[in-house]
Amino acid sequence: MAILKLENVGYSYKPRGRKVLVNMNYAFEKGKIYAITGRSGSGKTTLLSLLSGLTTPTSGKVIYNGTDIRTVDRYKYRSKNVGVIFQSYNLLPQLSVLENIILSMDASGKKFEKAKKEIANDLLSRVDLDDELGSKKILHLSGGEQQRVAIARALSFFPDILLADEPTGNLDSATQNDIVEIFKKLAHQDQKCVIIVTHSKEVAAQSDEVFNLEKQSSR
Amino acid sequence: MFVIKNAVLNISRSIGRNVLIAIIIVTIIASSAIALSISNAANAARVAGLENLQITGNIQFNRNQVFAEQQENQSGEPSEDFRSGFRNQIQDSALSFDDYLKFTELPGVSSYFYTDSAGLNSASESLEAVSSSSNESNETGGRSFNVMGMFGISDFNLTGFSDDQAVTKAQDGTFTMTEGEVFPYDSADNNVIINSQLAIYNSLNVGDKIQLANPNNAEEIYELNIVGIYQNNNQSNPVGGGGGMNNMVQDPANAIYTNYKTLEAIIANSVANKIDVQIEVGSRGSFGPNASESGQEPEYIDGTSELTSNIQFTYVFDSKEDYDAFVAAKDSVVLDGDKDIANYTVASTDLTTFESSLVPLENLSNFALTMLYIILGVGAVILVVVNLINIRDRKYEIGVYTAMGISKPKVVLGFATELLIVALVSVGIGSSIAAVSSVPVANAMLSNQISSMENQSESEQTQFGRGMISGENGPDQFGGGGNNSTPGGGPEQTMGNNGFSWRSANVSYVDQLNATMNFAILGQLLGIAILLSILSSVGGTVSVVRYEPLQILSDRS
Repeated sequence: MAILKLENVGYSYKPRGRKVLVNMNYAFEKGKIYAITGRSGSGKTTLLSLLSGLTTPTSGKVIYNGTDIRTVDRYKYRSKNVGVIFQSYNLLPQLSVLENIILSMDASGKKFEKAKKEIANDLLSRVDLDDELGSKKILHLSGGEQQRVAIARALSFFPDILLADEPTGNLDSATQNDIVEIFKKLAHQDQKCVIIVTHSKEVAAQSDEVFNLEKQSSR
Repeated sequence: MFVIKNAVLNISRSIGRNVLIAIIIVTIIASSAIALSISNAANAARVAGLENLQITGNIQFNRNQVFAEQQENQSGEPSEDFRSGFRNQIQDSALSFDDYLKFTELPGVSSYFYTDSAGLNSASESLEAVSSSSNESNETGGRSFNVMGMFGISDFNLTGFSDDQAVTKAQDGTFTMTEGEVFPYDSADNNVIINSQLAIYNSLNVGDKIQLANPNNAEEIYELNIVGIYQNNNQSNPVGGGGGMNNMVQDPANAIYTNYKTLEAIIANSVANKIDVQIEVGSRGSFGPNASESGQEPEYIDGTSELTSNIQFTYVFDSKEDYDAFVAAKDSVVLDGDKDIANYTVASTDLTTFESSLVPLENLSNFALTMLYIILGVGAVILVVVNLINIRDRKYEIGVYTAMGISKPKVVLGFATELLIVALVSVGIGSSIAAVSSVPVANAMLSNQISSMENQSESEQTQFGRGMISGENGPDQFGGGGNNSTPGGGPEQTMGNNGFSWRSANVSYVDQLNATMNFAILGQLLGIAILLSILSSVGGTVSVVRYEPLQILSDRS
C-alpha cells in the first residue's frame, strides 16, 4: 500500500505563472528506494518540497497514509513523519553534530526508548561517522561528513519516509556508494520509504524505482 | 519544555550576544528601579505625612478675588469709587463669632478652637514693654484709633485662648511655663501669664498685678493677675528690627496670654464705655509722616475709642479627606448681613507647610518618573533594534527550525523565552544594583534638589534685600510684620493673609528619602522586563517567520 501518493499534482511558483509540475501521479511505498530524476529545472526539488510538506501543490493532492497533507498540520507532518536531507544539508553551524541530531529529536516531540544522546551516537555509527565527531561543530566537518550528519538527523526521529535532495551530489564515488548503501538498508531492512532526488545515473540504477519527471510530464 | 530547553541552550551558545542584551536590560532595570523607588518613597512619605498630620484650617477673606472683582467693575484709571469700594469690602469682611461657629457644623470638622487678641498699653510706670530701642517710649493715648485704614499702635498684645489646643497653636509659637501655671478657661477671672523676658524686664513675679490701658482711652484701665510666667521655645527675634517703627506689640516678649472669656469681658467693657476721640492723620499708628514731622498743619479724623479685637478661629480635621469635605461644603454657610461666602476661602497653614516641605521630594519624584519614561522609551527602542538585528542574523536558524517542523508560534515563543530568561536574570542583577544604590542615589538627588531650591530662595532674598532675615515669623516684604492689636484697624490682618502669602517663611523640607526596593517595585520591574522582552523579541521574530522556510533557506542557498 502506498504511504505517499501524488494525485494530479501541479505546481507553479506564481498564481498564473509557468507550471513547474503538471498533473503528476505517482505512488510511493514503504521498503523501496525511489529515484526522482530529470534534467535541471524539471521540478525535482519542487516535487521534494511538495512531498515534504514544505509547500503545497497549486493543484492536485499529496496524500500521506490516505490523508491529503494540505488538511493536516504540515509542521507536525515534517517533524514526525518525514525526514528531509537537504541538498545544502541545512545543519545549524553553531551546534555540534550531536546537538543537531538531538534538536531534531526534540522538535519531533516523540518519546524515545533510549537516551537521545545514545540514539544519536548509534545513528552516527550507522552513517559511518566516529563518535568523536559528535562534539564537533558542523563547520569543522567535510562535505561528506556533513551529508552523513544530515542523514543521521533525518533518521533521528524514526520517520516513515526519508526524502533526500541530491544526497550524493558533492561526494566522491566511494562515499556516494556508502551513502546509497545506507539508504538501501533503511529501505530494505527498516522498511522506510526512501525518495532520492538525483542526477546520478549510478544512484538511479541502484534504486528500486525511477520516477523520471520528464517522462511523466510528457505523458 | 522543548522551548525552554532550547532557549537555555541557545543562550549558552551565544554568551556574547546575550551579555550585550543583559547589559542593556540591567541598565534599564536599575534606572527604572531607582526611579520607581524614588516615586514610591515620595508617595509613601506624602501618605505617611498626611496620616500623621493634624490639619487645621482657617476661614480667610479672599482679598485678591475681591480686588480683582472691583477691578473688573471699573474702567480706566482707579477711581475714588474703586478705592472706597475695596476699602468698604475689607472693612466689612470681619466675620463674627457666630459666623465662625456656623462653620463648625460643616462635615469634617473634628474640633475647633479660637483666640482673640487686642492691643493694650501700660497703665502704670512700673510696667514697661520690652523694647530693643530706647526711643520707642510708651506714648499712651491718641496713637491707636478706631478709624478704618489706620493701624493703632500699642505696646502689649493681650491674647485670649479658648482652650489648651488654642494655646499650643499660639501665634508666637510654643512655650514652656517657668513659673506658675496656665489659667483655666471657664471664667473671666483676669488671670494672665506673661513672658519671662517681660517679667525680668519689669521685675514681675507670679501673684503680682499689672495694669493695662486702652491705647485710645488712657482712662480705660484693666487690672490683670499674673498667674504664670512662660518662656517661648523659639527664641529667634521675630520682629523686623525696629527701623524706627514701634514694633513692640509684635515682640513675643510683650505678648500677654489670658483666657478668651477675660478678653471677651474686656472688649465688652470697652465697647460699653467707648468715647469719641480724634486722631491726627499721619501720627504714629497711621501711614506716612505726621504733621509735626512734615511741618504741615495737623489734620484730624473722628473715631471712637473702643477696643477692637482680632478673632482667629481654627478648625481641626482628622484627615485630608475631612479637610477637603469641609472646603467643599464651605459655600453652604450663610453668613450674617450681606457678606458673600464666595469672598471667603479656607486656608490651612499645616497643609501648606506640609505641601511645601514635599516640594523638593515631588520635584524629584516627577523628575524620576520623567526619567523612567525616557529610559523605558529609549531602552525599548534600543532593545527592539538590537533584537531585530540579532533575529535577522538568525534568519537561517529560523528557516531550519521551521523546515524541521517546529511551528512558527513555537519558534517565536522560543526566541521570546530566550530574551525573557536573559531579562529575568537582568532584573535580578538590576534590582540588586538598585537595592544597594537607590537610597544613596535618591538622597543625593534630593539633597541637590533642596540645595537648588535653597540657592534660588537665597537669590530671591538677596534680590529683595532681605538676605539676613530668617526665622519662622520673619517680616513681610515691607518689613511691617503683622500687627494683631488693631483697635479700629478692622479685620485686615485677620482676613487679608492671602495678600501676604509671599511672606518669607522657612520651610523644613523633607531631606531624607527611604527609597528602598520592595516587592511592589520588583513586580513592576518584572512587568517592565516581560513587556520589553515580548515587545522586542516577538516584533523581531514575527518579521522573519512570516516567510516560509523554503523561502528563507533558498535565499541563503
